[in-house]
Amino acid sequence: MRLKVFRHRQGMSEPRYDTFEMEAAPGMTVLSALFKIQEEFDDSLAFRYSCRGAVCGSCAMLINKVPRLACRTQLMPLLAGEQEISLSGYPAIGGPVSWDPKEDVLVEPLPHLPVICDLVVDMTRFFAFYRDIDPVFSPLDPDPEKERLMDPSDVRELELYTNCILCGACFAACPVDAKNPRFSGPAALASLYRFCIDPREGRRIERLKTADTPDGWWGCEFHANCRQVCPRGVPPIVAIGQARQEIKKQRKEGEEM
Amino acid sequence: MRSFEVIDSHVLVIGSGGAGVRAAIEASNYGDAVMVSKTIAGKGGCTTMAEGGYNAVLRETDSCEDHFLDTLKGGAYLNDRELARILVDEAPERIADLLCWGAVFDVTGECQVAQRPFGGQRFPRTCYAGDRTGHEMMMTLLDRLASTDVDVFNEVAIIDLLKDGDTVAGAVGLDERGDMVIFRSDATVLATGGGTKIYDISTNSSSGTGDGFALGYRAGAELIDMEQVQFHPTGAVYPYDARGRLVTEAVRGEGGLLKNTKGERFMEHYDPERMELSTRDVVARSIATEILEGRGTKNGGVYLDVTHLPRHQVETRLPVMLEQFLKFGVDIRDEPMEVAPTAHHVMGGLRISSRGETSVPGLYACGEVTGGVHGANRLGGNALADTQVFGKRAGESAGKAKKRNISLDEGQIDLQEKRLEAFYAGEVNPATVARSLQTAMWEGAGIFRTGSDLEKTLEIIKHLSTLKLKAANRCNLIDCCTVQNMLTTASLVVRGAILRKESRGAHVRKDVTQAWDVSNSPYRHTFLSLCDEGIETGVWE
Repeated sequence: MRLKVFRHRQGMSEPRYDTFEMEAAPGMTVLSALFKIQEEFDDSLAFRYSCRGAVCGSCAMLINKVPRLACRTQLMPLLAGEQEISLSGYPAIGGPVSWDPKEDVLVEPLPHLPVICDLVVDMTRFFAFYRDIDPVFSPLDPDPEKERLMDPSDVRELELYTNCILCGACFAACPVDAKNPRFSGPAALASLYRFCIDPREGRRIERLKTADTPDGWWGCEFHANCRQVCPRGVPPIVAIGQARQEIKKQRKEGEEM
Repeated sequence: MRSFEVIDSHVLVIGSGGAGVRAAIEASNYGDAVMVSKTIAGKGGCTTMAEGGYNAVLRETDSCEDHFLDTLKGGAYLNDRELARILVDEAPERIADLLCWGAVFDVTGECQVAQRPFGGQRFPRTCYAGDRTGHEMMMTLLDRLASTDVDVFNEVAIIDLLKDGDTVAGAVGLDERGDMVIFRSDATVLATGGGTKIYDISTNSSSGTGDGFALGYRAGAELIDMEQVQFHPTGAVYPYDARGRLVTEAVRGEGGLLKNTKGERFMEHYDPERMELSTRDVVARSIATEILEGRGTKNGGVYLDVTHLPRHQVETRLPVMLEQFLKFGVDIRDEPMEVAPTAHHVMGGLRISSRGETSVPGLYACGEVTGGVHGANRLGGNALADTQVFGKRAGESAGKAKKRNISLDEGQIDLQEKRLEAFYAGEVNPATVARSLQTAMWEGAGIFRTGSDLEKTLEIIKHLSTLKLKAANRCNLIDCCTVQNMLTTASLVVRGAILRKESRGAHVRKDVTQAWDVSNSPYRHTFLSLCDEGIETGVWE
């Protein structure tokens, strides 16, 4: 098989694709293939990784035109066409690069973020949206005597969203992020929603309203790419839909009063 | 000389795992603080990967005294008594901080924080968030950090500490482009985590390269018990890419059974009382013995079986495990996992006081980079507690440190420049050197050790240290520095192992027969520094 890898760094006039031939062993991941390139073919190849176990969210990249974690994406199922995901279209996945999906695995940096070097992108904008939602818990009861009690069913609902590892896959898969640089994006909105439904949180309504804008809850076009690519099964689209319902409900209640 | 940026702050925290972020949050109460992370903050350390849980005494029927005794017994009585006492006493307050900051831990039907049994503990006192406890802690800590004025430097690797006379006065870093950044501070906190990436098979993230041990050692700090490396009993064995990846102790905590290929629950031959929930050192050696004696699978593991548990329990309590194994075609609800020991945690490290001070003025430390808290073997669930208890203490001490007038020693910066320049003229790919080191450590300084194997391993490390590492470009300079740190850490582990001529906790010397049990050992800590090394003697009461 061949790994076709996007290359770009300071001083290069335009990006190029390098191709590396290797044997795909059973269970071998894209991350492992990148290590192999670094050790045996080209030690200048740059990519991010850390935990190798799909919990740190460092190694998200565009693999066969789908944002995925390199550490949990195996080569053989890709070549066998088993892991195809059909995404709602946007410019970065419709680019002109050609590859043979039976022989090649195409590896590119996450779209919608500037490339620093090869597969490493500058995540500043992604994290800025996350910080903008003010992800700091403001408890209803500032100083409980012992534990802040929670119901198991509340915990289960929160877990849907606390599972987020901020890898940026959803941001890179979102057609709205592709065209609207001000759109908060799925990860930030899902994290905001996590605070809106936390029964211990003191500013739930206020938080809901912070994204009651065209670039917040209302920017989403329900392409559902976010939910499809999330390596942890987080459904930002559900959070956004429920937040909109909640806002509509509150507006209606406001009118009736 | 290249141009560089100088960042001044009262406190400099190096490392962005659980201990580092906790230290930074605390330090920010006393003055300006800077946190430097080799990765994007929070993504690099091993805290985020921690699955099982956090030990804390929360119930009337449990007691801190019991937690203390469990910790000491688990640690083969090598623990620093004062540090272990602080750990158990303050772990409940520190988890309360996390809950107060919004952490979502699993709860019982009575809406109390849920706790499960972990190895070597007489009470089920391990709190958890499914099997992603560390991730939940890190997200909470990072969110809290965002509400402080701490300045965070992402993807800057510290390559050496700076000194002003005898005192640590900051550090030299390299950013992701290979440019130098100088940090100048009144107090510096090392929270760089562990270093079991020096072994071929390890659970650690890419940051587990022992940077802090090496930085501290070069700055003159004393390290203790570096021979004490925990091999986690249950790491994945196949496929090749998943080798060594942690299979959480929570699997056994939830009732998972260990079996050999003859179908025997072999733990009954090694620790009939505690069985699968014996301490990690014992379980790891038992599994290794089963494999060595031919009762292992063809992939070189033993079975870890949860198929007798209700499917629902596996799905809700071990979701990450379920998903990770499914990805490789094993449904753990229907078939057993295969597991084998994997290098996990370094119990040894920088010697600290109860306030997190190292033996060098101006330098503080917390978390896995320190030694003494866990003795010769760490209990599962005590590491996350350690990060919070001593993270807070080190951050507070550093915050309270006196302000000083620090002069930058250009000579020290020059030396670093020369060190980096030499990498451009190097000959060997650092990845190749790292691989040779990992193999040598696994073979010569693993679960079972002998004096002659250790001496041989030390020779290999010395030889590897003479090779001229090569940086392909500026971005690769960091890799060269990291591999040097790995070599230093490995030599500290091996030197400690040579010094300790007894079997104790995780350290097993097959060439030594001893007449004492661990509670009556005539030895205390091994110690290593630039100017001295040895082993302390004297029986602890």
